[in-house]
Amino acid sequence: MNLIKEHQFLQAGVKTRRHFLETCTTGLGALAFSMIGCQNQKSDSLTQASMHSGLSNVGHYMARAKRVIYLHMAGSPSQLELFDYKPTLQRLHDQPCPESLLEGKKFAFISGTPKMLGHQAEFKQHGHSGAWVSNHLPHFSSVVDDVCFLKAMHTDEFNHAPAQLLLHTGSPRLGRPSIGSWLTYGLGSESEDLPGFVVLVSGGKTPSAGKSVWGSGFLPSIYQGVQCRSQGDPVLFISDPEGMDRSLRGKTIEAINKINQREFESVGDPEILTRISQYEMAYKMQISVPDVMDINAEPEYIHQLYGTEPGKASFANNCLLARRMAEKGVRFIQLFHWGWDSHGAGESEALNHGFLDRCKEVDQPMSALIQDLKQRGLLEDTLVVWGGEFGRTPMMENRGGITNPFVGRDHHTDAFTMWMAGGGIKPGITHGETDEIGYYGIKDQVHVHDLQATILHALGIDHEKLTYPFQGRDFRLTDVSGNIIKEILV
Amino acid sequence: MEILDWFGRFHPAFVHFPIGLLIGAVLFHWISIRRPTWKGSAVVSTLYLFGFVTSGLAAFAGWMLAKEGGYDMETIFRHRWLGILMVLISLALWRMTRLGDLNNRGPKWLSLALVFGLLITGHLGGEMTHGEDYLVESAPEFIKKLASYQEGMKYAVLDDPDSAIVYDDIIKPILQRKCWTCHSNSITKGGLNMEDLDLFLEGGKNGKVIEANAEASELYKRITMDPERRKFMPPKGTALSYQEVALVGWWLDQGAPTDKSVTTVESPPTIQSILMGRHKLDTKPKSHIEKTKVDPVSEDVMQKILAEGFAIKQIAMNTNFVDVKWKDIDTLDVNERIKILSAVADQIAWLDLGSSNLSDAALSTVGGMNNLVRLRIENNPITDNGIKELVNLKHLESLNLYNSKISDLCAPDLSQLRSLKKLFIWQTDFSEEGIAQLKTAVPDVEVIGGYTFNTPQSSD
Repeated sequence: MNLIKEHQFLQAGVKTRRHFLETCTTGLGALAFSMIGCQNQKSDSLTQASMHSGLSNVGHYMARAKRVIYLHMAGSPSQLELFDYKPTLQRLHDQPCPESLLEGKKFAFISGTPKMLGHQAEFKQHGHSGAWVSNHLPHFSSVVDDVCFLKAMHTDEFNHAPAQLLLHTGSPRLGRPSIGSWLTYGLGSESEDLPGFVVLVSGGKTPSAGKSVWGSGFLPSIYQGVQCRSQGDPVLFISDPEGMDRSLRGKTIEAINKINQREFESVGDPEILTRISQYEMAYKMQISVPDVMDINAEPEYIHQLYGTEPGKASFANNCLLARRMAEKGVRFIQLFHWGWDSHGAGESEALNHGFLDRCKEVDQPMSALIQDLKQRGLLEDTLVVWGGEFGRTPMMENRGGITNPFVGRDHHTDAFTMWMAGGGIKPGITHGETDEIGYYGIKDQVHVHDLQATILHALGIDHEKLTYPFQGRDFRLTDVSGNIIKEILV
Repeated sequence: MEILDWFGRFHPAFVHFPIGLLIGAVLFHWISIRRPTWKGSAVVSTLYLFGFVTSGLAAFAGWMLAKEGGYDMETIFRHRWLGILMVLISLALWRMTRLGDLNNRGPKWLSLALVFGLLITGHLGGEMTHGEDYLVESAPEFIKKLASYQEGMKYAVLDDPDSAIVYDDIIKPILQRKCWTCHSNSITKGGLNMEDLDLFLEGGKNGKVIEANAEASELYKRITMDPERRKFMPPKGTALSYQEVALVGWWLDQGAPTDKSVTTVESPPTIQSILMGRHKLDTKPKSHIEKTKVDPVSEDVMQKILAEGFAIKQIAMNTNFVDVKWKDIDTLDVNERIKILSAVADQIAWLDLGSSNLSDAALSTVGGMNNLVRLRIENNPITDNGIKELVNLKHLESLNLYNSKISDLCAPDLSQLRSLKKLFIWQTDFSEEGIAQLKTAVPDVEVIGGYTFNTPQSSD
């Protein structure tokens, strides 16, 4: 294997117009010289990146968590019906919203002067920590002492797709690697026969931003999230076709890999190595994935705890699968549950109908997930994150200036609630506070970039140091922002 | 004798006459030796005489000024006696050259000594008024290197908050720099000696200066009052900086302890950041792994352990501790292979042998891992006997034993794990009373049993 040639090949692949323009400014001699310089730069990280194990496998500092289970509530649940209790808002119910709150604001649907909307829920304090949780999450109320609430989250984007991209890839536009890809790129996988980054989707739809929210962007494609389905074949085409048995499959892959190996020896493209290891992984996954995805073997009391029904595509099943994958060492397990976009324009997305169904779908499983991880000692080094891509307005949505047929709230970027639990996060605390109607964060605000920086930190990674050269500059998940939320770290 | 004190203030004015006159005298002295035709001996001896008189005056004024205090004792000692020596040398030179014997060996050597002496004495004087770094501070790099001058290294770097003593390492150096010039073993202005700890605590002639509350302490009042007031301390030189005042106040508020370390007293966030900035002292409580240093595991040993069926990985870039996990390869038996881990017994901080069919006997190897912090041995046929092997793990913080064969009988052994914070005993033979007893025996340990499905109470 010719290492130098390999690097030159890789570097040539990332040379761009930007490099050319940059070098043109100092003349062609300098251009030639700088090409030589560029060829050596960053070569280490690039060769290693092409190996399956990730960058170096060793974090910048001591990790508090080894893996992440990210529960994304696609469409964004209303924090004002679940966690952010505001008696003042309740008092102002049905009053017209003052102009001062609307000036210079952009909403997805609200126009004219909307009315304030009081809580469509009953609130109570729970646990030793006294966290406020509404009656829509009765199971979750019993685990609040294991959870850290982030009540003053804010984001920059008020539409689903860009907000989801910003949350998961650090940029509202397409093309960046997702947080799970960054983590598997930085730390590798702990599992030898499962992918390091697995995605499970429920609620009947993938998130608005599509599969880009678990894409690998400009990182090598081995780091992208692998979507597993809880119905049918867990991964498409994982079963051997009729007439082909496992040993024949094994021989086929062996033969293909031999040819690929020869090709690599003559051309030196490291992407060929990637392909070889992917074939091997796929072969292993034919056994390991159906095994981990089969929840029938779980005892009855576990099914009862999660409320799972084997064979169905549900959030409950996915939560149980998440735990099973965490046990197997999958680095980043991401669950998406669709249907939280409670505008009130139709019954399925009304705070008094569809929203309540969503609450029922997630309440028991997500609480069971925390309890089950805890009793197995996994919560110690598993970071659980829950939340939507933004929040919802304290005003009732009036699409096009007309009152909606059902009760609902519009998209809101300035304040929403998320929660984290487990690995390295202080349990039983609430960080951040919103104003008396839950419109803006007034204390300890957390931007989505700060959340990303904190998740990486919990996994032992310095978000400013985990970079990848692309289009002539080093990119990172948090780009030029992100502060670690030190207050919530153990 | 107020007039004499006032006269002391003329020292800086007088002091330049003798320097100029005497250097001039030495200059003419040597010219006259080289050019005897000049016949300059009368001028030379007269200049020595003038030098002697003015240096005498300057020395006297200096003596008076020194009585005011506020200068570094050691420097003032050297400056004073060197100065007086210069007076005597100039007197001697005048006597020797009076009769025109310029070319004798005595006056020739003495004159050279005088020049060197003047330079040194003058430099010492300058150091006292302008500060020690005055000359080097803005000098070219190579001079700084010669003088091994380093910027911002004025304060001691303290590594470990457990061993850094608040008074000795943080407060005393401040007092030494800012107060001891007048309140030390050699000078006790106002009857206060701050160098001798017992006398310091006793106070000055107006009583105690230290109380267990900054606002009530005379010391704190004096360093924080209006600097224009006569009682403000220090009366001369640089006052205490904001950080120094804050640190002294913090020390007083903590009851002015003289032997406590930084970790044993409370420190508010502002103090923490001052300690970080000034002394590079991180006051955040550190875990055992962060505090302890071990030798790195060699690549060779890593490979051997890997070959035996364990995954081994450094915990982070800044530590040599390792995380070890049994890879659960069907054909291998962990109980036969665990011995290899003795090679890294000191470096293993996290060990995961869950679901590996681990036996009680194999735990004896685990019991020798001195720095083990996290141990997962769940889903194994481990009994109470196995737990006995673990009692010496004094840094173990988390122990996962769920789904094993342990029972109430191992509670006394578990109670011996003094660093333990979390204990997982779901699906074991522990009885409910046993768990309750264990919880009272080790109240600081979070004992985690299991959860079962509960129909939540309706909150409506």
